[in-house]
Amino acid sequence: MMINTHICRWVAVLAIALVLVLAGAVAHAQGDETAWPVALGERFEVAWAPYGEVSAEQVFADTADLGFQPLALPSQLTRSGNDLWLRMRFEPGDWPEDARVLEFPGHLYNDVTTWLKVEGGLIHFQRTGRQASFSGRPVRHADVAINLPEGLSSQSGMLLVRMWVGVPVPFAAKAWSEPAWQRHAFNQRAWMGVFLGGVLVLLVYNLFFGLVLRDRAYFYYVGYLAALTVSVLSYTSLPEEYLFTGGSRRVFTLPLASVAVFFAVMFVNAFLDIRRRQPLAWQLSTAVAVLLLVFGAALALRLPLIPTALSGNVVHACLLLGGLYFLVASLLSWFQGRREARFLAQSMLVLLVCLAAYLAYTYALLPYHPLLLHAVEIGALAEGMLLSLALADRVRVINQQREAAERAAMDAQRFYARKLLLAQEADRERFSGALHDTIGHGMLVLKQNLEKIAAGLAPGQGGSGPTGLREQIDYCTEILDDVRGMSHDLHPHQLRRLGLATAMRTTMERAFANTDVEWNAEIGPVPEGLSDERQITLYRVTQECVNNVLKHAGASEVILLAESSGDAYNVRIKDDGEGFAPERTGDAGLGLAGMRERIRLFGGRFEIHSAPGEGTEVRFGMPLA
Amino acid sequence: MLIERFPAAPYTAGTVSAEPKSILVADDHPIFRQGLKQIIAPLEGLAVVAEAESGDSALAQIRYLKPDYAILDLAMPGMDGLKVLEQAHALHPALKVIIVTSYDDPAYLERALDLGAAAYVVKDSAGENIADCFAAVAAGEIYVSPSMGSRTALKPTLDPVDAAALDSLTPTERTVLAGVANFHTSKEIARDMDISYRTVQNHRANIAEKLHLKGRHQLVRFARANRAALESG
Repeated sequence: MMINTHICRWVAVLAIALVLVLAGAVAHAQGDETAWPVALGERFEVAWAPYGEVSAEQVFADTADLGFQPLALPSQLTRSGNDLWLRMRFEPGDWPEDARVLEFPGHLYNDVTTWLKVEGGLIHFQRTGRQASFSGRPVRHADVAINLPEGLSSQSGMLLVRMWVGVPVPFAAKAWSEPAWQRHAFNQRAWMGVFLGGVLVLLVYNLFFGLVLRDRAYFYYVGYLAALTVSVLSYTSLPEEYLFTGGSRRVFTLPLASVAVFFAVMFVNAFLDIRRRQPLAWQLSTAVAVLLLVFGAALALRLPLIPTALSGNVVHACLLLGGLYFLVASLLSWFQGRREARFLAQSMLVLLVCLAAYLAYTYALLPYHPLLLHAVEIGALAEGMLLSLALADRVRVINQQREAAERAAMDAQRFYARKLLLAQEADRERFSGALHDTIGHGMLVLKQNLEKIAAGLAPGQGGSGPTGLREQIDYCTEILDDVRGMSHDLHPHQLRRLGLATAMRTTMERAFANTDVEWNAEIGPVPEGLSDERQITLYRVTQECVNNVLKHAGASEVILLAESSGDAYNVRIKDDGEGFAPERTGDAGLGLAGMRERIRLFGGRFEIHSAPGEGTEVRFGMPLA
Repeated sequence: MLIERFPAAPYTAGTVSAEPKSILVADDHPIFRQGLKQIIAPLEGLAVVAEAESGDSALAQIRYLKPDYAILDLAMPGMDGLKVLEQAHALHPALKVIIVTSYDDPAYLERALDLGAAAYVVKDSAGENIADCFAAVAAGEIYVSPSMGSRTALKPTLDPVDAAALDSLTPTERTVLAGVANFHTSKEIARDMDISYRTVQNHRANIAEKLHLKGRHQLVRFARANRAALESG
């Protein structure tokens, strides 16, 4: 099935434009709020203590001597093997008026416990983070956030936060008013909706093309984008909201990324035809991709395939290798003139840039920004879109390939049909010659011998009537004529010896010799350049037309006109017979289909003009070159 | 049947000559060569000096033996008789070629005579005719088997017709002739002119007579050759 490339392109561009507009709308809604959120990160002091060694009571009482230091953001606070303690002392006026939610943006905090002690009041204890059960979280639809009691801005006290984090995370703290938080939460959801919707559109769109075109690259793409998306989603609170409501202790990010990179490598290999072009690169990359899949699975299932301490690093290295391979393969292909590789290179560049930006943010090389928090999602979506454009491009490539293949098949078919016709013609020539020279010649000798006998006899001696010698001689002549006629019909021996013009004229002559049909043939010189195959084709079709006139037309006049015009030799045969309705008869009767096909095989043209009662004119011609 | 006189015989024919005329017989059928030799043997002043079973062999022998006559079959493997004929005169201008063939198509006859054959004998009647043939050829005439005579259609050459002859046609006749020139059948001409088919046929006959066109193809040929004049008039 052929698919219109332009339509594919436009659908892809349209989808991308739609997603961008929606994302823009979300971002716009986000930026609408002027006062909120209020950044409070720099108010905190930070200290570290080995896991579980220090209790909140000790920190409150300041007996643990943790050595709190003021924070200078951005900074990356994670220290492996330690609890991260954050402390904020506040006086009246320190909290913004109406602040009701405190958010610690980022979803990599595994366990976050907060104690809020207001002077002369109770301690508010809240627990959240990835490992906290979703239903037990103080603020649900957020990465990590806690509630703030009313009237906090007029009070003094202390907020203590203990975090347990396995991976590098920069710290930020944002205070929101209730309405501003609601809007923010809604926008987060909307962004997720746009992101997932966009991905879903891309997946369905390309899955459809994959199914229609039966092209593996599309399926790899779908696998890649799906795995990448799920991997990105594992960094949000959605898995705990829907899958691990009791809080997730295991992170499937790496296994999922492994699957994604596996598909990415398969995709780039299929898309750029690496297997054929660079067999070694294909073997190596496929091996690494499969290995990555195995490592990922081992990681997810906690199989002791590689030392646990190394597994993360090995998988990370493979992931990086896969991404680099993707980039290098597409860049090289692009430079080698495969234009369809450009979107691949661009998409991987975009994804890597987004990942780098996100990593830079997590290591606090870049300050907190909402866009950075979503950098990976943005990168994945952009990647999906650009690859989708590449696949839209591929539709054209595949279409071209298929057209070329169809043309080649057609050419082959024609080639064999021509060969068959020529072989048939050669056979006929042989039979014709054999008939003429064996039976014909035998009859001739027989006849002459009989004549010799007759000459040696006295008049009246040879007998008379059907068994008489004279009768036998006449019978021989008859058979001889028949054999010569058959031989001529089988193959026009004149064609090779006397040329097309004479052969056509003789055919007319023979056909109409003993009929009342008045015939005329005006045959111009046959140009030198007309190949033998084409001459014989013209001859055969002429013969067929003449036979049709004889058998079906009931004509009283036939005219044949053959002449060169431009770079073709054209024949017109017209009779004044009964005619027929070509559109009704189609090509079924009269061998018209055969004639048309025969002419077409050798690159000529064939047309019929006829109507009942109007006679018939057949026009056909052959190009010289 | 005598078609025309050979303009200048290179030698004088005589019933008794000091040396018999040499003959090459080229035919791919041994039986036929044998038969021909038998027929020729009793003829005085003729001797078959060479045989060939292919065109190439015939040509080579013509080149080296320079026979007086060559009897060529039209259909031979490889180079056929017409091709040999075409090249033989360049090699041996005095050679007289007698085509002996089983093809009785007038087209072959025309072509053979065009190429300068001295005789065209159809194999059916070779036995009876070959003696006459040699006599005629020796006399510098061109000989063609009588059986071809009835079927001989002269090559449709256009006799020069005075262009002024067109003026002798009536306007109706000119219209009819223009129709013929434009590849119209008589029925179509009749319909276009709103006259009967018979009338068109009569016109055609009259035109042919006025222009002294003989033979069925001459009218069309003339009409097409003068198409421009007919249409402008």
